[in-house]
Amino acid sequence: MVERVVDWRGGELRGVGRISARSPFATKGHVPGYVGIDCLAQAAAVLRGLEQGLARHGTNPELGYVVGIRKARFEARTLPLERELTTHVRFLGGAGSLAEYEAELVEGEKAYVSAVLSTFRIPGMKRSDE
Amino acid sequence: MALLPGFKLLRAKRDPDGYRALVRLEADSPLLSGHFPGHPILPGIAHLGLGLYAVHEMEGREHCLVEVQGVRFRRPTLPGDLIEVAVVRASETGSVRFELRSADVVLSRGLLVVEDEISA
Repeated sequence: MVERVVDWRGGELRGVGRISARSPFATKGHVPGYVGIDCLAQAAAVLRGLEQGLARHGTNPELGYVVGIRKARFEARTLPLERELTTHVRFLGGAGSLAEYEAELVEGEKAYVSAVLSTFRIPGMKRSDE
Repeated sequence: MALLPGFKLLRAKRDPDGYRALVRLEADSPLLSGHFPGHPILPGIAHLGLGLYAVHEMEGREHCLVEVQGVRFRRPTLPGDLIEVAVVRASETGSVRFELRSADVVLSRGLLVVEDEISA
């Protein structure tokens, strides 16, 4: 869902991507608005990876997952498929393996989803496809 | 509203204030695809989807999610897990408490705000 980073500076990232028509959540040409949370989580993961310099060093990053969602607002009940959406994520703070991010998903001027996400990085656990 | 793909409904019970169901997460669920390669974990959004499905079954009509006031994911949900999904109304204005458990361990719980699909 995050295919390209268009801006990254000082704990903030803006990325663009699309929700695939092959998403298992897709019905009748769209997905429910809550699927946007996954876009926000991916953007937070990309930001964390970049901040840790993993992109520069080509390191296989440790996996992490969302452990909390709060203040999530869904401005639309569905999200479009195969259209370019922009995710903006900002690091709020963290300690150890825990981190918190504020993020939103938009299409142009139209806001779809905003939320505060808490994430947990799993020490030593990495993707097995690399 | 259909149950999310890759879940099998084993039993369900509706009462005046809530709904409770037992489902199994199938090992070949498409929801696990890519999340994560070699370490399949049910995505958090699927917990929300299960909660919304339970709201639909409780109310007998389609609803959409307009807010997540707060949700905590306490334990990863893995292929083959038997999951008890429970929702209860928290207010007359659309707040619903939901909880997912497996073998008496809380997987996730939280407070959702839903809206009737027709008025959305």
